[in-house]
Amino acid sequence: MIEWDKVLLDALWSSFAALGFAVLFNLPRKSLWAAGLLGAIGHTVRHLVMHYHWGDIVVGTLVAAFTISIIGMLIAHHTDSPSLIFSFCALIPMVPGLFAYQALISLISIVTTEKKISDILAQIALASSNGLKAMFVFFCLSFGVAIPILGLREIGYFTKKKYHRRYFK
Amino acid sequence: MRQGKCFTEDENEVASLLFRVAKTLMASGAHTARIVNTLTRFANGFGFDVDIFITYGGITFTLFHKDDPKISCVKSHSISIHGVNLSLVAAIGHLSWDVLEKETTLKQVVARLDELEKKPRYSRLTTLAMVSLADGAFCKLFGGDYYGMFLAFVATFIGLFVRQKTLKANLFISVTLASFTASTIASVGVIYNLGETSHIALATTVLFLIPGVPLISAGLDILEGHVSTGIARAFTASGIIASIAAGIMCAMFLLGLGAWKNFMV
Repeated sequence: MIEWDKVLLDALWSSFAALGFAVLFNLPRKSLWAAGLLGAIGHTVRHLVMHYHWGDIVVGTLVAAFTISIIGMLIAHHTDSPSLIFSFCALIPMVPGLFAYQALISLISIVTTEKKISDILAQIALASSNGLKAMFVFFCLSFGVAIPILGLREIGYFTKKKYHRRYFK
Repeated sequence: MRQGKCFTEDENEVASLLFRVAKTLMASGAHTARIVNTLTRFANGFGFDVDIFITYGGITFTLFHKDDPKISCVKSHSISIHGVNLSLVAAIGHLSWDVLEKETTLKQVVARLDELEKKPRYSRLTTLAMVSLADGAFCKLFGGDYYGMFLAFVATFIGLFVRQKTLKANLFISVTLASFTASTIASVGVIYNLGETSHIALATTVLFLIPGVPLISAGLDILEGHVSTGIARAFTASGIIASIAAGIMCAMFLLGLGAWKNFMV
C-alpha cells in the first residue's frame, strides 16, 4: 500500500530542490513555477515506478525524465521560455552524483586496503556496481529528455500552433 | 578555399556578433545543438548562410552571402567557459527569432545583447538561501530528519559562500575548497552527534556542487551527434566530481573520521 502523505511531502521537498538549482542557474522568474512543478512531478513518477516494481532506479529515471520533458513541452509557452531550460532544473536533482561519488571512493579504497584479495575484490565490485549505476542513470536521463525533443515535435499540435516553432526548436 | 572576394566592414560585424552570441551561449551552458540553431537563425535573419564547427574550447564558422554564395568569410575564436545562466539562454533564443521574423537591425541586436549581459542575477542572499534549502530538501529526501536538514542547510550556506568568493580561481580548486568547507562543517555535526542522521547531511551537503548542467548537456550533445563536445563536457564534469570527492576526503582525514571508506547513504 502506498503512503500518499509521505509521497506528497517528498514531492514538496523535491520541488524545493529543483527551485534551489533554478535560482543557482539564474532561471527567468517567469519559469520558476514550472521548474518547481516539474521537480515534484519527476520525483513522484520515479518513486511510483520503483514502488510498484515496474523498474529499478534506472528505468524509473528514464520514465521520469520522459514525463518531465513532455510536460515541459506542453507548458513551455505559458512560461515564455524554451522547454529545455526549466526541464534542466527539474532533472538535476536526479543526476546520480552520489553513485558517481561512491564509485570514486571505492576506487580510492582499493589503494588503502590491506593486501587481502577478498577486500580488494569487494571494493572493485562496489566501484563497478556504483559506477555502472551512475552511468546508466545518467544515460537514461539524457535519453529521456532528448527523445521527446528530437522525435516528438508534433506534440506542438496539442499546444498553440503559433508558439510551436518558437519554443521547441 | 579563397574566393578573392572579402566581406565589407558591416558584414564583418555580423560575423563578430555571431561569435559573441556563441561565446555567451557556451558560457551560459546551452547544449551544442541549441547554439548551432540559434547562430543559424541569426545568420539567416541578416541574409547569410552559415556552416558551423563547435568544440568545447572554440568555434569556427564560414559565412556565405545568400544572394552571392561566392562571397564567404571564415572566422575562428576561442570560447571561455564560466557560470551557467539560463535567463541569458532563453533571452538570446527570443532575440534570434526576433531577428528572423521582425527585421531587427544589427545595431538594435548589439544594444539588446549589451543590455542582457548587464542584467543582474538573483541576489547573493537569495541564491545562498535557496540553494541551502535545496540541499536541506535533499537531506530529507535521502531519509534525514529536521536536525540533519538544518545541518545540511548551514554547511551548504557556508560552502556556497566559499564557492562564490573563489569564482575567479581555477574551477577545480574552487570546487575542492567549497566541498572541503561544507563537509568540514557537516563533519562537526557527525562528531558531536547533532541529530541521528548527521551522516546523511554530510553526504548531501555537497550536492550543490554536482555539475548537473554540463552532464545533461553532454548527454544531449552525444545523442545529437556533437560527440567531441559531449565527451569534453563529460570529462570536465567528471573532474568536478573528483574535486568534490577530494574535498570531502581532506575534511575527513583532518577531523579523523575514518568513515569515508564506508560512507554510504
